[in-house]
Amino acid sequence: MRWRCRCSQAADTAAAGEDFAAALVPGDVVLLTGALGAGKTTFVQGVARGLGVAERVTSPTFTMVRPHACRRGAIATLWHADLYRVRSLDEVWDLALGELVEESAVALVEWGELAVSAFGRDAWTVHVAVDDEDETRLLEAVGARAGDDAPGRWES
Amino acid sequence: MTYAGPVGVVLGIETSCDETAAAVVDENYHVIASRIESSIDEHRDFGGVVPELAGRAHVTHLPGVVAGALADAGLDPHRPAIDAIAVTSGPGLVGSLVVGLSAAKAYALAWEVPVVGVNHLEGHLFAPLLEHPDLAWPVVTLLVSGGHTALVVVRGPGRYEVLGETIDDAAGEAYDKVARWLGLGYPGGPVIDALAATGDPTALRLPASMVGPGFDFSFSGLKTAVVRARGVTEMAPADVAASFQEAANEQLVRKLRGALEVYPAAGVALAGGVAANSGLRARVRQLADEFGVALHLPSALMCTDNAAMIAAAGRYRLVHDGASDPTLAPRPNWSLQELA
Repeated sequence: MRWRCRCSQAADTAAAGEDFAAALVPGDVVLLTGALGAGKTTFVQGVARGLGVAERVTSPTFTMVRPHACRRGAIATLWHADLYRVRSLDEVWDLALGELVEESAVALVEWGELAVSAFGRDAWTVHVAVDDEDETRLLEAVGARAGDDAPGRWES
Repeated sequence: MTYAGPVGVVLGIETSCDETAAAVVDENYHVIASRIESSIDEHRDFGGVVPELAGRAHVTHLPGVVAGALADAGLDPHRPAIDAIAVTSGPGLVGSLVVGLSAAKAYALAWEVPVVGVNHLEGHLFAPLLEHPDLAWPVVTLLVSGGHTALVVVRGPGRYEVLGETIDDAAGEAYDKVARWLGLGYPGGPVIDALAATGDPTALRLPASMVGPGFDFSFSGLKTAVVRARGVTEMAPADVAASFQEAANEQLVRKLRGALEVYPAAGVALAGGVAANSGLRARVRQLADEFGVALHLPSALMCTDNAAMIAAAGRYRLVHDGASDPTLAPRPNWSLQELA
């Protein structure tokens, strides 16, 4: 499946993330791609809101992987990862993201391009593209589960 | 539970990010020896700190750094006459923290001294005390580094009020990301600082961030404004660097000024890697003059992650909270708010 959502400002990107959270189930890994400043962290902040994360979600660039406790349904933990500083696939394996999500958790991975070959079709990808003309963001989510209905403001 | 044993000489160990450091500090917060080995050179090609590599580098560097600091202090590296070991247990990269913690526990077992886990950020708050042992409290401290941005009223050791923190990126992270985007390499702070000196800070008009009354910071929007600005790719990198640095420092200084207006203070301090930024230091110096408060600018060595500040904070924690349990574990998310 493939969903799209156009966002005119940062609050919309966060709201798209909040809607997207409804589609997640324990074990999901979401690889986020897009240029510097596209809005990847903003999207994750929205997902966190949708999953009932109470604490502040900030950029994990220096801590690499940061856990956040969730208060929604079967998802107990949101792992917020960032591969900005990672350069090799070996280091992606070292982060053990696949194992982190085994127990009632989901992982959102910023700068996830490098991890695509590690997860293949088992992972979601969410790409954030910036329109140079009007600065709007076009979000495109590609997922493994066929048949899921597009959540909230997303369109199939 | 307070610690009843003697707390004279403390060995500090710091491995939370890319510096491997050890230091010896005495009961008067006097630094007897301090060694720092950076793995930044191993990371320079990567445009940032690679934690897996950093963990490996800490394993390699730590024994030599500890032995060197002990020898510098005139102590026997095999059986040093120290009273305690202080070690950074968070926040930081878990793979890096584990190296320091494991080593500290092993040394403690061998030398029969207590271990105390230290919050890295609390260590930074002790840095002014190491360079100005007679400083008067309270001190409004702006802690700015690659991983952290916080404005704290320090009323004395262990007495903190965290006024604000970043809501997205840390200040130093924004410096690093803009530097890499400009193709300037890592670490971004020093290269932007040097380049900015030759650029026009008004060349690029950037929006002011977090102009409201609160003390929280935001650097994500500024970073985006720089890379998305019209025509920015045709501009001279020096002008982009100067404009970015001006806007980043403007936000930091505006919040610091706001804190000095509201909270009675005897001094103002900078801490963390971004405290080495020449533009920021000049503006904070002006601020201290204007408010008539003491200025505590850290030396270059004290801006860097170092173990002297960890030993100092550890000494305080040992006296007031007692030794850590042998199960002492890394706390990658350990917030300063939990100490306040």
